[in-house]
Amino acid sequence: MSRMMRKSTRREIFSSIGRFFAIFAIIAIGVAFFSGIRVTRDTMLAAGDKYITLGNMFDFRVVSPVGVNSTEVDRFLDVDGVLFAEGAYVEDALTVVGAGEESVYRFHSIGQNINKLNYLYGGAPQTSSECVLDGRFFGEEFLGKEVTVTDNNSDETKESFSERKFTVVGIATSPYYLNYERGTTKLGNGSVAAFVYLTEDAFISSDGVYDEVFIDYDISGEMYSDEYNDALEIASDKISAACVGIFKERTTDEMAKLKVELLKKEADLNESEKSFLAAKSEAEVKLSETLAELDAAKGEYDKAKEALDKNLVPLTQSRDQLKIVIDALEKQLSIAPDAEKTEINYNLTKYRYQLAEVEAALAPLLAFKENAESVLKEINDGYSEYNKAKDTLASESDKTAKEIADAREEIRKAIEYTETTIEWKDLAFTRLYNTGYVCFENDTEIVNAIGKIFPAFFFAVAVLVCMTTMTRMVEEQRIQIGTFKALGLKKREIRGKYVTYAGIASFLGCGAGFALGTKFLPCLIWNIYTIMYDFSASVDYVFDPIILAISLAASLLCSIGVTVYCLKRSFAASPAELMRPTSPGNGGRILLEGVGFIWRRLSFLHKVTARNIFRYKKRMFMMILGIGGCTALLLTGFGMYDSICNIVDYQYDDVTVYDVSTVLKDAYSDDEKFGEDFAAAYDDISEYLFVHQSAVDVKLGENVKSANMLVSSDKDVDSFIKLSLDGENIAFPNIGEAVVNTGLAESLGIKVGDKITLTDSDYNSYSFRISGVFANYVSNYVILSADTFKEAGGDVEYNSVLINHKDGVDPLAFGAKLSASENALSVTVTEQVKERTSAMLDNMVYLILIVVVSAGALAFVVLYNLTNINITERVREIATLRVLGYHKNECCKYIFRENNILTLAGAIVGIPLGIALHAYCMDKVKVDMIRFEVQISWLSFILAVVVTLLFALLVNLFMRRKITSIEMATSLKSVE
Amino acid sequence: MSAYISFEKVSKLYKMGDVKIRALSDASFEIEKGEICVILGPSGAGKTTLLNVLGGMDDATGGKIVVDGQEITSFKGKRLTNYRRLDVGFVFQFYNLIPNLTAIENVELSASLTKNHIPAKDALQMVGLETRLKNFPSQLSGGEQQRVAIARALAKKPKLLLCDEPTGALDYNTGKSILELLYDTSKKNGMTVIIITHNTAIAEMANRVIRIKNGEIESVETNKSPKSPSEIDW
Repeated sequence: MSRMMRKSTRREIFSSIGRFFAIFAIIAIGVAFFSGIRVTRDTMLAAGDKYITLGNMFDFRVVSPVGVNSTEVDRFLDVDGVLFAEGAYVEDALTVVGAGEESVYRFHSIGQNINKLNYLYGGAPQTSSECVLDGRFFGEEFLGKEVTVTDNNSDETKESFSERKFTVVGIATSPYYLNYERGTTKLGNGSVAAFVYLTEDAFISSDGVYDEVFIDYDISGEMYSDEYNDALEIASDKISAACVGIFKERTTDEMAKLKVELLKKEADLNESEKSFLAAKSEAEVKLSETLAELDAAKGEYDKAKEALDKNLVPLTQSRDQLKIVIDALEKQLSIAPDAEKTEINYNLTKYRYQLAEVEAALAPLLAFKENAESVLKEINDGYSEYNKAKDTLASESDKTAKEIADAREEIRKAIEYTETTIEWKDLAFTRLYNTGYVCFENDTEIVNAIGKIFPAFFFAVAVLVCMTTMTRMVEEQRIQIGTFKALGLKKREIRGKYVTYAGIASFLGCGAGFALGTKFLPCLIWNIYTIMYDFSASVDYVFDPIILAISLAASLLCSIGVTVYCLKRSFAASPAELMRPTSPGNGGRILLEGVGFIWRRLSFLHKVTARNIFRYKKRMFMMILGIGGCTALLLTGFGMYDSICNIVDYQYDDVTVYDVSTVLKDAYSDDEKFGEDFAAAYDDISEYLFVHQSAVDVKLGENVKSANMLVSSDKDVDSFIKLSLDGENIAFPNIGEAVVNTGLAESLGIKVGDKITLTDSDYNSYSFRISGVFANYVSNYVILSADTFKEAGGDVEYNSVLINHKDGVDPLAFGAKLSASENALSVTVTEQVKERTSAMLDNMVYLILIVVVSAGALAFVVLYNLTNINITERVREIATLRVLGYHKNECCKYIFRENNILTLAGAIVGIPLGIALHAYCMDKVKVDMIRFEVQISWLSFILAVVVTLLFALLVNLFMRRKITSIEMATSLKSVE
Repeated sequence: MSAYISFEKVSKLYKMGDVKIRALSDASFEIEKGEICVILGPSGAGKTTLLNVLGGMDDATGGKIVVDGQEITSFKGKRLTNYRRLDVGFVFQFYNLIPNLTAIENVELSASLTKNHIPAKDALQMVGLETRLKNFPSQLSGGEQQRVAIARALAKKPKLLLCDEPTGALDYNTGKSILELLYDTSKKNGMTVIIITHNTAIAEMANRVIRIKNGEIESVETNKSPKSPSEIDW
């Protein structure tokens, strides 16, 4: 370019700095978002990859039904490609940390080379009585505290550890647990609260085998990349093949051994049963003997009583009479002559004999009478004892019979298990079965999805803005261009000026946008995700040259390409044409004029405004689109807030409305026992409901999803769980039926009437027909009645109680009172859960803030640019108005009236656009356990429009100056 | 008797960075009410500047301008705008009509500024365009457009009618008819009309001719018997 052209270009930049800045700004914003979001995904992956590489996350996790012994672990090392193979222990146990509550913790043994821990505080344990705690849930203050495996564990569990108390010497994160999920368990309330790492010596294995093997395979490639996945497939085949060789023999042996043991156990059981039955019949015999005895005794007693009743009186009378007679006779004898003595003696003897007989007959009666009461009592006692014994025998033998039946069932099941064929290739699990690993991939994908639509949007706007700006510039300078052409300058040289102008603006914009975007956006977005992920929050700056190249290419295409296109039109005209002033645009009638009754009502100036709006069609469309975009973005942002942030309230205020949930150690549904166990809190309890909760897998067709099964003891669950959908109540399911929540229904495609299958952790399956679907936001539930569950063959064990406290009671204090009970395994206060979940979701506000700010920036640039251009185009018109005597204020109103109407129109267009964009974003931001209610509140609609108008107002304020500074004399200079 | 319009040592200085341009220096003259005054001068002499300053479109850097007893050089802001609004009518070389409005609407734009105005229709009738009321400027010829511009200026019933090269873009005959219109308006309504031109022949229609060169008033001549433009040939 010639020196003069360069000068001209340089001066051009500074004289129309507003225009230059507009191009710079819109390119910068577009590039910032495009590069920022694209790089965010790379940054997140880099952070994740760095973490799992440093910690050497496992490639394979192999489990076998009979554990893995050291020989087998070593044999894995021989497999081609295996770098490390380590055996590991894992055990779930009911645990108390420090002074906390008892929960289920998962204990792992620390690996030397695989799944290395990242210590946040403290260090590795040196002895078997030291441990490392989960860094997500425990902070530095837990160093030195004690982790205790409580007595409430089964003997089997307790015997798996060499110690029962461990001192915390380290707080760490583990690559095995990338995110916040810790897994499910058979113990306690079904979910693992946190992990603990111990040394290998802390574990005792009864048969000297490990629970699992971790394998580090020689695979290179970033997490989730095709490189890794392809190599993984090949490695998988090798490992699976190896498993057969390594495990088959011992497993088959062990299984056979186990089967033999089990059969022996069964035989023993049969024996026990036999002796039990024998003992039972013996006891029964004894009982009947006792009964017979008792009956006999009773019979005798009855007889004796009868005799007594019948004979006592007459005999007594006889005796008395005889005594009198004997007395009389004796008296007679003493005074009687000898001749009569013989007769008297004879009679005396007779009567004495009779008396003796009578007394002999009377004696037992009297004896009996004395003891009658106690004898009767003895007999009655004897009966009641007999009855008790009989009942005891019945219940005991029932119990024993049941125990035997249960034991038999267990043995049968175990035998079945030993007989199942083992799919050897199913023993090896890749990272794809690790929740954290999979979740992280999903989350980076979300960023990717957002990264596809937002930048496209901004770039579209950027193109539009560049187009109008450069068109305007070329139009303004047509005379100059004509002059240059007339002077004989080549097209290339003329083009050079404008291309340089636009090129520099966009180049600088691209640079600034790229630098700011790739630096700040990843940090912002990552901040949101660190809530869920355990690894380092600091993010390294990732420089992606490809993204930069794409950004640059797009920016230059936008600016320079557009410029060249605009110039084409100018170049088509002859120099003379260009130097002639353009005839002002044609006026035309607008459609609205046809609508008589509106048109007549408009004031003169309003008519002018109406015509002016349609006069510049390109501007009209651009403003409506640009403003519409702004409103759409605002609506999306606010809408996301509505959908996400109210979830906590909806869930805990409208669905799971119970105040506290308590897991019981001993399952029961006895009200009296409940009152006893929770006496301390009883006065504060308003109502409660016994439920049976367990973690299940729900299956419909091919799809499986995990959920919580809730079996209720009562059909009336409304005060604890409100079942409703779209404002309508969902009835509690009848016998044979169950209800599921919307999230579960959606992911499995469940409709009312379908039959689903539930499988619990003991591999028992149950089928239910779905009678309804209810709204729920956090976790998945299947709810049914106790009768339904029993009918399906399930064992109802009320292991939980849902409790509502009275009004005015402090929930946390109430919770503490409940925890005081011996029988309370865990107490979950809904208020607390609400707070915790709320805090987690509050960070979504950052995401929304980004959206709002970008919307504002977009609106501002578009409006500013368009208004700027518009005013420049109509300088003559505005100056004429000034000359005619219109005040500055009136001139501003003249222009801004159009702006405001177009802004309003844009806002209205933006609303359906925003609704669609919001739906798209909500679809992409799905989190597995939480179902967001896709909705936008009225307030959001109003706010979106109001804020858009505010931005417009701001632009008007800026542009006032431009209008009022129009000088009449210079603007209206005639072309001489 | 003090003149209707008087310029007393009026100067206009343009400063652009270090560069100073004297558009007007010490211009002094007088114009009587009802006169047709023609301002002659070569390109860049300062004619337009003079008109702009008189019309309140620009501020004088020095001197005093009095119009109908009011010192307009002391006017600022709103007062100046009101002066333009009510007392001045402008006609430009390139018409400067609002392209988006019809002829009658263009005139209405001006008429609606003041209560005391000639109805737009009448104004257009005065300039002979009663049949073209609903046409847009793009549908009118140059002469017709200029007539609309004149009607627009007249509708306000201003004290002065300032015309900057009103026939510059028109052909001979059309230009003549425009000048006739201005002449008649002045004579009929007693309106003070000031016309800028570089065509010396037009001077014959004026009551007063002011010659200006390099920003300075060269001469002020009065003409006792101005001719109607139809009688002048150039």
